[in-house]
Amino acid sequence: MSLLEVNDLSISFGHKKVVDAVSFTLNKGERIGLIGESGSGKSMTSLAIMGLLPDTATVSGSITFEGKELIGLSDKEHSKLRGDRIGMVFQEPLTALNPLMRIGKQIAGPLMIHRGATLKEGLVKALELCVKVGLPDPERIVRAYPHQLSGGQRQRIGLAIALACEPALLIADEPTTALDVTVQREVLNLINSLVDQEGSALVFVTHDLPVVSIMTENIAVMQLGKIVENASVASLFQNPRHEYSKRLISAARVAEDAFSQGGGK
Amino acid sequence: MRKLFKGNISLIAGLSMISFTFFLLILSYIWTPFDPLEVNPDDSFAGVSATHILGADNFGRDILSQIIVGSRVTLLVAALSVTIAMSLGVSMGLAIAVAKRAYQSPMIYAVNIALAFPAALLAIILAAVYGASTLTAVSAIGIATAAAVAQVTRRTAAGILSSDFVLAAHASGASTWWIVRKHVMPNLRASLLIQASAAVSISVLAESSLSYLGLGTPPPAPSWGRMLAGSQQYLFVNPLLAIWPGIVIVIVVLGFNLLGDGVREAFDPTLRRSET
Amino acid sequence: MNILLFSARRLSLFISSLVVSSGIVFALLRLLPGDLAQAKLGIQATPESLAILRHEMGLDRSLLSQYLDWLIHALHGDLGVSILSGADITAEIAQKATVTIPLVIMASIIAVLISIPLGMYAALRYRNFDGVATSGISQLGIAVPIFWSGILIATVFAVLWPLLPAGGFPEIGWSEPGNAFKSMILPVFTLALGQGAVLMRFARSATIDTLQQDYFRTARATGLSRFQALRIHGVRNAMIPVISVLGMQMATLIVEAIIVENVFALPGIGQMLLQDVNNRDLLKVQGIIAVTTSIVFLVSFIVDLVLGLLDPRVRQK
Repeated sequence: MSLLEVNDLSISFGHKKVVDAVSFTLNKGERIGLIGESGSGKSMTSLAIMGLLPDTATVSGSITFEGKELIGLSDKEHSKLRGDRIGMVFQEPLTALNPLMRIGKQIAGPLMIHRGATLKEGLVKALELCVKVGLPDPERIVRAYPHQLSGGQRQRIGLAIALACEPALLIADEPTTALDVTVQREVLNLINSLVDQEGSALVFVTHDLPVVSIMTENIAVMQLGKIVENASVASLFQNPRHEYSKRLISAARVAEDAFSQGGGK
Repeated sequence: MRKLFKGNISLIAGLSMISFTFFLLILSYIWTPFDPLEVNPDDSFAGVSATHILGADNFGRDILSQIIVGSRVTLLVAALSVTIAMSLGVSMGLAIAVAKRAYQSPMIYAVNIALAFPAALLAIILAAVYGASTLTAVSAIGIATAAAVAQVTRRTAAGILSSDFVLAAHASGASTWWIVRKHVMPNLRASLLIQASAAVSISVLAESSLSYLGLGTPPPAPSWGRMLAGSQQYLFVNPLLAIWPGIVIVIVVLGFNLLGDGVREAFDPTLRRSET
Repeated sequence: MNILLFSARRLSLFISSLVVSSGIVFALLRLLPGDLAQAKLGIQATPESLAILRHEMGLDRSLLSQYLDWLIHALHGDLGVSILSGADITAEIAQKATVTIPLVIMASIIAVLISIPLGMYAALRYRNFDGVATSGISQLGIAVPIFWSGILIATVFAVLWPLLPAGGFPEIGWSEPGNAFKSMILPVFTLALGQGAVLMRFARSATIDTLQQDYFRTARATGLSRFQALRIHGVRNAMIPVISVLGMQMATLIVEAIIVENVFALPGIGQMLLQDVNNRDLLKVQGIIAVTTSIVFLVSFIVDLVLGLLDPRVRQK
């Protein structure tokens, strides 16, 4: 049985269809990249798995996770999976943390919700998680407020929150887009090694082909709400079938050439 | 134009209420059922009837006529004090926003001091010195509201001045005055309209409170606030007298508040986006 | 240490505001045609007796030295004596404050307590009928002049359905606690409703803002229901604007208290102020205004400290 099975998923707002008959499957420990430009429906697909779509969205099709149908699931039931079996990291590290709450308490949150931990136990675990996501001086970090940390540090905190309960599935929605290029690579490596370590499956959402190609073995290319091509990284680069995939690849090559000519690396 | 109104219930409701108020004002110069000041002892506390549609007060003066004519004082005070508030407040707010940093903090400090004196308190002080009159009410409301307008204008203008397109204009050598005219003013327009309608609401509320306290326009000119003060003495005889003038005050204030909300809704693209 | 520096800076601002604003009030009240001596002796006074009194009262000195004189006495708690009655102004204000201060404090507390939950409710259900209705009521509440809502509340709860007194206060004040408290209920309620309507609007928009924040989505992603996430992450975020607005509204709140005192014939500072205005008892008016504006600045000082405690970002600035 596969871990996650998305079948014929469609999402629309009023008359506007933002996700159109999307299907893919993911086995335990497998990784998939969802790539496309903004508005292609990749973020909406991941929010649908999380059950965090806006109220105004109408959803049809099916999403099964660990054999459980998620579409039409009550918010209460969905909440039991969120943060426990499915973790999510968001794009904007600057705004994704509550500015008025100390970091430690925010990391302890999922443990208190799903594992019945007390705040004290949660904070002890938060220290461990800080070390795990490679943050130096965890004692200082857990007592800090978000505005006292850098973007890269905050994204590591986001990762610590998402992985606190050792989820079977991690969804990362453009986790490095808002970061500096040097920090980007560090965070990507961290996600890579942690997902390996935990044996979690990964849905990696991005608009950046080079990034997705180092993160996942399979790529689903999305355009205007549809998956236009679903292939392994190697076959996509060697033999892109869809016109849009070809354009993505040539754009990535141009960028790479410009980069190496500019004397970088 | 039609697009502006479509689905904007605040704007439609607000404009209807404001039209009603101006209808009363125009009507007051054309026709009233009775002379609003005509004392008629036989009709004292007359109830709602065909002759006195909204009844009559202790002197037998017709309530509807007084309400129609009462719109004059309310709207006159509002018009004058909002003119003062907007011209003074906007120029001060802009001046602070473009001033050198060293001058900014004392100016902001002065505005904050002024904000500790709301319209009615300032009017009380002026009334203590000069005696209560329309003039003291207008100056107090105008000056007090100007402080609030200056504060909002400064914040909004400072936001615009620190945006990237202004920086770009600066970089290409534009003068401050040119930037204020070409960039700040057009972007300030919606905010000014919202502030002006809020200022009308504030001044109508302040004027009616002052009239109620006996510190507004002196008698005999009918005013809604004073009608309510009068009605309070006869609550046990005729509680209905305490209803009508209050309703018209609420219609005017609500009308301008809703106009402000409607304008915000129409001009703020982010607000519209969150609704989709 | 940051919080200390922040408090010290804020304290100096508070003190200087007091001095400057009382100076403005002083100047405004002395700009009148005629003067205090004239007001005291009436129009029949001879020029000689006027001159003597002026000298006695120090009115022949420069305005600045008169002001500094007044200020130094005021800082020692001496606001002078009433021109008309000769009564000690400080003592009279202190006595009347036993009515006004409980009125304002109780009304503020009730206003905060009703506005935050209602505002959050209206925000949570802003697409539904009940949410829209709740914010519609607050919109209406803002448009109702406080004296009218006072009259209406008195009409309903004192005239049509005689539960509570329509006005007045026991002669001997709080020594008769039951009746004193009873006379306060309707005025407090009136004041709290007016303020609550304003605060609710801010609580609502702060909550709508929170609902759209990324950190709210993060909280939901950790497995909190919408309501739980709002309770844990939203209350504090909604409180910040409500408290800062309450601070900014303090001046308005005091003016409204003055009006409410007149609606319910409560013998507080507000009622006294209006009598003194009608009597042109200028020194007393000056004293009362100085006290009320001091309260306004004091509250905004306290509010800034509270915000500093609630919001770690404020302390850093």
